Amino acid sequence: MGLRIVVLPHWKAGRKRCVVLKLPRKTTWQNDSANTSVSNKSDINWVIMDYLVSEGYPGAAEKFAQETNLPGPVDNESIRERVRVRNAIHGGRLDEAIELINEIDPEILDNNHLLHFHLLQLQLIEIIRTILAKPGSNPAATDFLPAIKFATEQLSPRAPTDPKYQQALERTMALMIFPPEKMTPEFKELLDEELRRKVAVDVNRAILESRGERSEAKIRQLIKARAWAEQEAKAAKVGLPAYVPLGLDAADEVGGVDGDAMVS
Amino acid sequence: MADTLAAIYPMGSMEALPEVELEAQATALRMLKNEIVGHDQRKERQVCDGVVDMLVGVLSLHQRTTGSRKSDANGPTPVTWSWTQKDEVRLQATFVICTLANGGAAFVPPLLAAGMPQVLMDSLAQTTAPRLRTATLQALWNIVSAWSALQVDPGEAASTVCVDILTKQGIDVLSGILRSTLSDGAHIQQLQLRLIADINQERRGLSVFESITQGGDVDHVNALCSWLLLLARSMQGHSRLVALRLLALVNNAVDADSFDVGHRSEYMQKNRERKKQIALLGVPLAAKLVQMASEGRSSGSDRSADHDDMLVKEQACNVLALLVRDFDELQVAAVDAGAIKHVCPILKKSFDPVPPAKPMWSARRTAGNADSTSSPPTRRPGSQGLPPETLHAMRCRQGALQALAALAEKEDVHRKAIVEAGVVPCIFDSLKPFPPDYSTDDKRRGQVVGPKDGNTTAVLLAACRAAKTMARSVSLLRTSLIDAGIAKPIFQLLHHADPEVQLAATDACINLLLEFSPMREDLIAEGVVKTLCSQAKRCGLGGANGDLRLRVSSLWALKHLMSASPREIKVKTLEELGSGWLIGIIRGEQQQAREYVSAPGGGVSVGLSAPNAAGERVDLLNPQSSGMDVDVDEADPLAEEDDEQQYGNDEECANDEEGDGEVMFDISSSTHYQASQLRSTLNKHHHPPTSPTATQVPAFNSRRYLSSVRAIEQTPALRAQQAEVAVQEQALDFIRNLLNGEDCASMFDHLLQLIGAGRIFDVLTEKLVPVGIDPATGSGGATSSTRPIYGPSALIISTVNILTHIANALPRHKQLLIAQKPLLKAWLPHFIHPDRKVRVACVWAVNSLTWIDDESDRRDARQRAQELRACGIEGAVRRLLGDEDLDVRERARTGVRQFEQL
Repeated sequence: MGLRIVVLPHWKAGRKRCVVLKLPRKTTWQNDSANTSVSNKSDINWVIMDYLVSEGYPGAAEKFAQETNLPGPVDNESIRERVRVRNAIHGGRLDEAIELINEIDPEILDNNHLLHFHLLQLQLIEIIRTILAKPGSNPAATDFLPAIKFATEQLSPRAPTDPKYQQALERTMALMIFPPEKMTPEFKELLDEELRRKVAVDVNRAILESRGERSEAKIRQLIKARAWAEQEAKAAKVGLPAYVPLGLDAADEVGGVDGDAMVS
Repeated sequence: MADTLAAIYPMGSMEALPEVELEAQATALRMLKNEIVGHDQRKERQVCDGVVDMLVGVLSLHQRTTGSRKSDANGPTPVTWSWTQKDEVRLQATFVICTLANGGAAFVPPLLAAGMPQVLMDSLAQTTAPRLRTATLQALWNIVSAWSALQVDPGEAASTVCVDILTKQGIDVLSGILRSTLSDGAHIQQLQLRLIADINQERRGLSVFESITQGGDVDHVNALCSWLLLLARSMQGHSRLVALRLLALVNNAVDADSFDVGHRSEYMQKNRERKKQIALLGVPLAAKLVQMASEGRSSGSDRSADHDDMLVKEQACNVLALLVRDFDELQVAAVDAGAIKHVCPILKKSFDPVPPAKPMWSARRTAGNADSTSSPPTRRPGSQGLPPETLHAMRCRQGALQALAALAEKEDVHRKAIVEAGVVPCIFDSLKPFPPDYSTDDKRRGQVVGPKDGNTTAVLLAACRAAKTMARSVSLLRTSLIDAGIAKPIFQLLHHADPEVQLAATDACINLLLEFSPMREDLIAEGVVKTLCSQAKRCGLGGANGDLRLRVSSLWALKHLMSASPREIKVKTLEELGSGWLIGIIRGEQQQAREYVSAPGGGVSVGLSAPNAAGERVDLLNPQSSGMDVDVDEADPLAEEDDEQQYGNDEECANDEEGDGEVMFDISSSTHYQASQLRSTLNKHHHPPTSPTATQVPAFNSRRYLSSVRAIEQTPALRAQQAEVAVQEQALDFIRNLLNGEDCASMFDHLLQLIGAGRIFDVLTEKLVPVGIDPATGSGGATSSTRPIYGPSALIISTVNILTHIANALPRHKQLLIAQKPLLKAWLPHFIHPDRKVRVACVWAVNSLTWIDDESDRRDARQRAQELRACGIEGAVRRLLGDEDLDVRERARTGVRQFEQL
């Protein structure tokens, strides 16, 4: 019977130290409920609930609460607010998203200029997208007037204050120059809907922070901590197997779920 | 946009809006909000178009119509709260105000001109809806923080505008909210706490927390502190910082309360436990935040909000300073957590040049606001103040200096570590104000105020404080501080226009003028004597209390200058002050000081210049000059002790200024705070007449006692009286140091010549005469079996020490002293003074008097001893042989031996 090593971050006297727990190697994580803190079933449920709440899945959260006998999310309305914002961003309705955020707390965008700029940039991209998507071969120069007007009024004032704003604006404006099929990947990226999702995550986080709540689901932190611990253990050469399964599902057998991918 | 708004929203028709129009109004306001969020240029345009007046109109209108329903702000929240359209309108209007105030200092003048803080405060008092309440607090906070940016603008006459939120009513509203927050949601509660704490910080007021902690006992406070610790540890970034600040404020407020609980061991124990908890759990957290600020790391795990990080950078050091100030164990804890290592880089970095932010671009070329002067003040944005980068650097610098000042307060090791970090030149640079002609007006935008161009008033104050605490180290005074040339900028700050800066610079001077300070000569050459003397004389004329602080500090500095100075400096300083003025100050010849002293109320009144109780005057004996030496052997240890005491005093004073009440109050004598009735009952408890050195105090209702002391302490009259006592103490010590040293005899002769023996001894007698006799034990003369009621013991110690110095001068001076019958009579009761320091000083003086300088003095010495015996002093000294204090016993033994040798 070998020993499984679990490294936990530990703070002592202001210096970072590791506490190495030695656990029986052969047992699986689920059977270790006496030794590991997260393996308790209700704890796991709580972590999942936390994920559903902070990532904004109110319906699922309610159902999950019923099934697991956990208390439901305290403030369902605030989750729904965030969902509405997210949906608006995902759907490309940026003006609606901005108004919703301002309804929640105008301080968010008033103080976070970068986030505000990102949203406005997305909005400009959407305007350009509709122009580009118009049937017909090439849009006429005058078709871009709304986009130019929007950029002049909304984005340009902040552009000279920092190179990052200026660059972003320039690249967005360049979308009007190249036809979509001739775009380099860096411009294609702007039209990709993935960008919406990225901004939506930032917005969700900003809203959570403005409410004084944790800006990230606990499970993400746990996974990061696990990856970190694995790294530390490997660095300390404690003889860890090449791959430690998470033990959550069948994907374990394939390996490389997301342990290392999360470290960045 | 503004035009459309005006169309939807005509200024004139705001009365009795029907529901439909209310909805239109809310929509219009919402549009306005969306228009300006994140767009500072548009905000400015809206203000010029008169949006501020409109908002005031909306808020006050709806307050009036809905006021009756919601006036119960302190009561419990109604269970069924319906959100009405009116609330919606108010919420949107408040949001617009939040956003406007975020625009920065330029928006403060129009908002203040419209009386916005008051409007918001009224709104706060009338609402219980959590959303509206939070938004209103946020708006207030935004205004206050923008205002504080305006305050530091060197070009602005900032004193003309001031936000006065913390009126009595304001405090009531805020503490009402604090009490009722429990019923709101947790996060709103946190947010509200954070906002209230911040508003308080900006005003540097403890008042709200005082009203919370008042009446609370130590257990309650400890629980509160534990909760705040827990809160701080559960939060991140700026919120964590705010929780720590609250912790510091509560802890300080409690400590300011507990000035006289030395005898309550249980109370002390609990206080100690709390300190320990804060040292272990709170201080490292604050140090950690400082570290993050210093390393430029984001404070949260995945923060996107720069704004939050910026606030942490600006305030982390300040909070650390607030936490550890006045508590040496917490200072040690902070340094253990690496505070010095992390604070110093922040200070250094604040001097790095920052590229000024490029202005925003605008499609509309505004051709200057030519007509801006003609528009009403509510439509006229003011100056933007310092550039935001410079402002940020100034705030970081100020915080770092505060933290250093706090860390260097007690421990020499900390001071050395600070020097080793190489920040002394930074302190020097922080003492330089902005040039007087500096202006941040838009018209002169050509020059941008950078972080190296000067320092705001807040930085100057912090730098003076840092210089003061650093200068407490003798070795640093002689090495790094002189190398940095710290004296010159401090001297220049003595002439600063701001009285607070003057005061801080004077405080910093106090240590630079010490006997062993190498900077003394430089400062004298610069003309510090004249400056300090004129400061001491100038202030207090208006009768304002605050002014006395400058007098105390100036006299304090001069007092240090007197010790071991060449004769010509002493004579010149005395001349500059004026001997008549000095005597007047010692006697407390200020009419207003007497008025409250003789205030009715039964019992005995504490006279600062009590009439000469001894009544009759005795003929002066012929002073016999037998040409004897000064008693060097005895004078020397005394002199050393004096210096130490003064050195210690200085620190006490520093504490005192910062609102720590415990120093001024002398537990055992407990005289100088107490007025009439209380005093007569108190002394029974405090000083059982049988034992002169009462330490065992019978238990009594301590809480009631504390609250009565507090009530008394907070009356302005008693504060004024305390200030007056402090002035007198410094003035007496000035004379005491004047007489100290080799030229004691000649200086005393000089004084005799200037003032006259009669006047000098009258004054000294006045200071010694007990205020009265405890009615419980005695009814007449001050015999050893009764307990007299003393004046402030600080004054008595100073006076008796002057007697010692006189007794150490020439034999003829001894003879002169022994001839002062009223003085001796007034002196006698102090041999049984409950404060051991007084008793020691008394015996020292007797020992000096009975010293035989040489054979020719023997006859006089014997006669002096007889006089002392006749008036009961010898007996008093003999009784002190059994004193509980070793020092007193030893001195008394010497004294008795000297009596016997005669």
